[in-house]
Amino acid sequence: MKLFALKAGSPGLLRRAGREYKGLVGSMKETRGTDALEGPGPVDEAAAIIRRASEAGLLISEAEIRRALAGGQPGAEADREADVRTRLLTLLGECDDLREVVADNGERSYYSSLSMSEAYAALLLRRQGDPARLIAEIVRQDSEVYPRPVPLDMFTHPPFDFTLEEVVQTAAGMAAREEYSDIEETRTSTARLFLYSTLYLEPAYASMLAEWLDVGQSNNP
Amino acid sequence: MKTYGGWAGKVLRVDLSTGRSRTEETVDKYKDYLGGTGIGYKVMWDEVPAGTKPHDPGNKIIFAVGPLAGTGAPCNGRIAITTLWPTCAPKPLVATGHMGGHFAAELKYAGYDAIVIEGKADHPVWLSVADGKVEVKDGRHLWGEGIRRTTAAISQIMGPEAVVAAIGPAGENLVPMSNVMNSISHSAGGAGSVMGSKNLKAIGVRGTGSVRIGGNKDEWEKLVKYHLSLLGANNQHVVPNAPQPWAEFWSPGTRWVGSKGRAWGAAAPPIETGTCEPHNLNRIAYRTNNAAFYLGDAAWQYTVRGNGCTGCPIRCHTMVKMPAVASKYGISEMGQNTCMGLLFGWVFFKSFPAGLDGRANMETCMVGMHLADDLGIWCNYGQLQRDFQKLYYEGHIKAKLGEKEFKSYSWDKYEKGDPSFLFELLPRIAAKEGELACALGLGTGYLLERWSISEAEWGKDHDLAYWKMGHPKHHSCEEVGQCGTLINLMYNRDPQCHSHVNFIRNGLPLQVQKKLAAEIWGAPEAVDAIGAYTPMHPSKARMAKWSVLRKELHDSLSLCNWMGPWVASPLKERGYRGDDSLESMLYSVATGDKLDRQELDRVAERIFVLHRALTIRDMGTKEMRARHDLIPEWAFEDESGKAPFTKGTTRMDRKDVETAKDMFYDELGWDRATGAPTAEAYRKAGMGDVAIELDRRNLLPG
Repeated sequence: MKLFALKAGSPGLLRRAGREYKGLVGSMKETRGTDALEGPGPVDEAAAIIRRASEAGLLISEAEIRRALAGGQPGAEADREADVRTRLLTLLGECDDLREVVADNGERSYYSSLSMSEAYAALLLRRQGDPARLIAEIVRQDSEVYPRPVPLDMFTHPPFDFTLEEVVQTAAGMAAREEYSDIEETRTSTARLFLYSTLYLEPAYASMLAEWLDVGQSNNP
Repeated sequence: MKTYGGWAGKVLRVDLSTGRSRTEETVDKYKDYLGGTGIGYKVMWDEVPAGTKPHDPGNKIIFAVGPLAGTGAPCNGRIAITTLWPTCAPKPLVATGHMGGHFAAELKYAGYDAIVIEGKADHPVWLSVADGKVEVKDGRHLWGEGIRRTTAAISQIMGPEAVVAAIGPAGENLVPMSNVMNSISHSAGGAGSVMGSKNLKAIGVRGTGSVRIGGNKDEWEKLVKYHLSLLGANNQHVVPNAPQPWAEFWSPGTRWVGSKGRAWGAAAPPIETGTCEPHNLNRIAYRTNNAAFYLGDAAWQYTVRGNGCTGCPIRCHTMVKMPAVASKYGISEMGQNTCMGLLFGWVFFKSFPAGLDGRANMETCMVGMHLADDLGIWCNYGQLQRDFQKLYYEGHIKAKLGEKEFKSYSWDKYEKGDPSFLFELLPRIAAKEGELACALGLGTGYLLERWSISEAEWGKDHDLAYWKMGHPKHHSCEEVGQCGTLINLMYNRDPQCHSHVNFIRNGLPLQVQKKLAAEIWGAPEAVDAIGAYTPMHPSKARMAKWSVLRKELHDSLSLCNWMGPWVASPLKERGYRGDDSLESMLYSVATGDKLDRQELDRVAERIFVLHRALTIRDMGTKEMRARHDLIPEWAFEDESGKAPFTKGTTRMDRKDVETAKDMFYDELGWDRATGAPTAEAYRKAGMGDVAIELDRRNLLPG
């Protein structure tokens, strides 16, 4: 359960999520055809750092930005905390693409909408918290919006990256918690497990949709 | 006379009975029918009389492309093959098959928009079309060879850049369930035995010409880039199948499977597909991996790269490398295909030794793909395999075969999911060896007749997915409700229409789909969530009409209906809109003949109505509603007894479906009682002569 012990913004989380990530000022493997340093608003090192992180599929916290601005020197960022905060507030006003998200613990993180969607940023933010809540919120959202149940194994793939054991244990734990009483499971004919929310999907309908997603679609190419 | 771009300008006619060839001016004779299926239906209407049988010398087979084939338009690689369909039961009627690959473009570069094959050679031949030089060549040394060796042999003669469309032993032996194939894996099912009946083993084409763009060249370049910008992954799925940083939406069911962490593992070195951000047009080809989509994540390790058709960045024919099969089964370690081609071997079996995710199912795919694609066997959209399973497990095969023949098959291997069983079955189908092979090779309709099984029994079985006239459903009520049902009524084989399902499965949330649907078909009620169908609505009939017209349009222009239309896109800044006018814009600039969307759709309607007229004429009845537009019983049933319009069932309501037919016929201006176009509908489509001929035969309603 080591993943669940991670705290938001910890170096462990950054390393784990950033398999392709070579460092905040390092080169990116991929570009979108637009220079990651450039965006709407003035050229600014902090803005470039946020954009690079987003290009790599990461949220970046205020603390991480401070460290990066200080050249990665341990302790150097502490003196500049107020400056960086002011600078980020200014940037948010000047650069249309830069966005701030706030975790439950009050920690602020940033991303650029040039390469990261609001939905993905929200997903990354949720991932920093309680995995049960993460799963529940995604299951509810998918059940309502698309509508569809969610295969449990989806959470073993990026950007979630849980092990199957972790996901199964989390799902099992959710069953006993009142706040997740709407989250139900259904198994397909291949024994694949899907979750859905009874707030939005009736059990029989969820079962049918799960079977369609797991078996029906590929049998009807 | 105005000179148009797009078209090569000539239709080639080859009479195999005499060995002579001649040409016609495409624009003079066929411009009103565009190309592809339009030319095919027109030739069949004008020249192949009712009562002709598929294997008669009087039947013709038309290989036709449209003005966009061989241009830079995305997804322009398809050629339509039109003829009397030998698997259409109880009476063969006109239908079409479609090959991707490179045959379509090469034909244009050789200077032709179509090849009409007539008559019958008195010995096996192959046709060489090299620019303006047309030769009927002795093919006796190729007769009996597989498609692979035939292709290699002709390529040695014509050069490596030639494209060869060949039949295998199945087509030679007049097995109705046979295909014609080009470019390794691109096949048109059902047409192989018609070529075989004419003693035509193959057509090789080589062209060094080009396709002239009739309109402004800069405008064309911009238009092509615009079209590319709207592309999704295969089947125009516009959201990725897992969360990606750039994506607002994702859906586990889409074919947009490329992402960071997923790599073509058999490439040397492995190539990561990466974040396929939709604005990066240079990475479109990394989005799709149909081996992984169909065969599971295990297929990534065997993937070399994507392959595909001329002018198409989607690369839906995934190339896989599985060294183990070479020594184990004596087949090539390399293979490529998509959809049913990939699944050909797999879906014969109910189970595998290590379950569906085991390695045996990958090996089964390789074995099935290589055998079928060399022998030239068609699967009829998987109906062959579904029939086989049902016939075996319900005891029909044991009952119908003599003991000696039954024991000649290793049924223990079959039940265990051993791919080597396919070496016993498939060559015999191609060779018509034994009762089982002969019956399976007929196609479902004639198989049922031969073995005295009622079609109704097949039509009751939901899992069989059998629809009518010897063919299965193809994206019907199970996923597109009444719209899918209506589309499946219209054709004389499975409809091969993807206009509707490409939209339904595009991965966007329901409310986004409904918003787009309201813009395209006039009301959000046009689309429902899968399995949550609502009663018939006029917008559903409009969507069905639009779907079949776009299918005919694509098949006639040579755009891929497995990709288009492009009315949704991956672009958030466009509200995920695509562009419903892409086809007319491409047509107008390519040819220089300016037609807007509605005008081009009217041409498509002419082509579709001509198909209906051919069906009426050749069936000898105008009672289409009662005798042609039929729905199997399974569509009105639900295993758990759920009522129509309750969530979780695809069950249709009988009365509602009749309402759907009424609305659909109304949309087309057809007669409600018979489901036949009226004289006025023919005249509006510019085919008053067709109305006169049908009237002469008492085949007009009213």
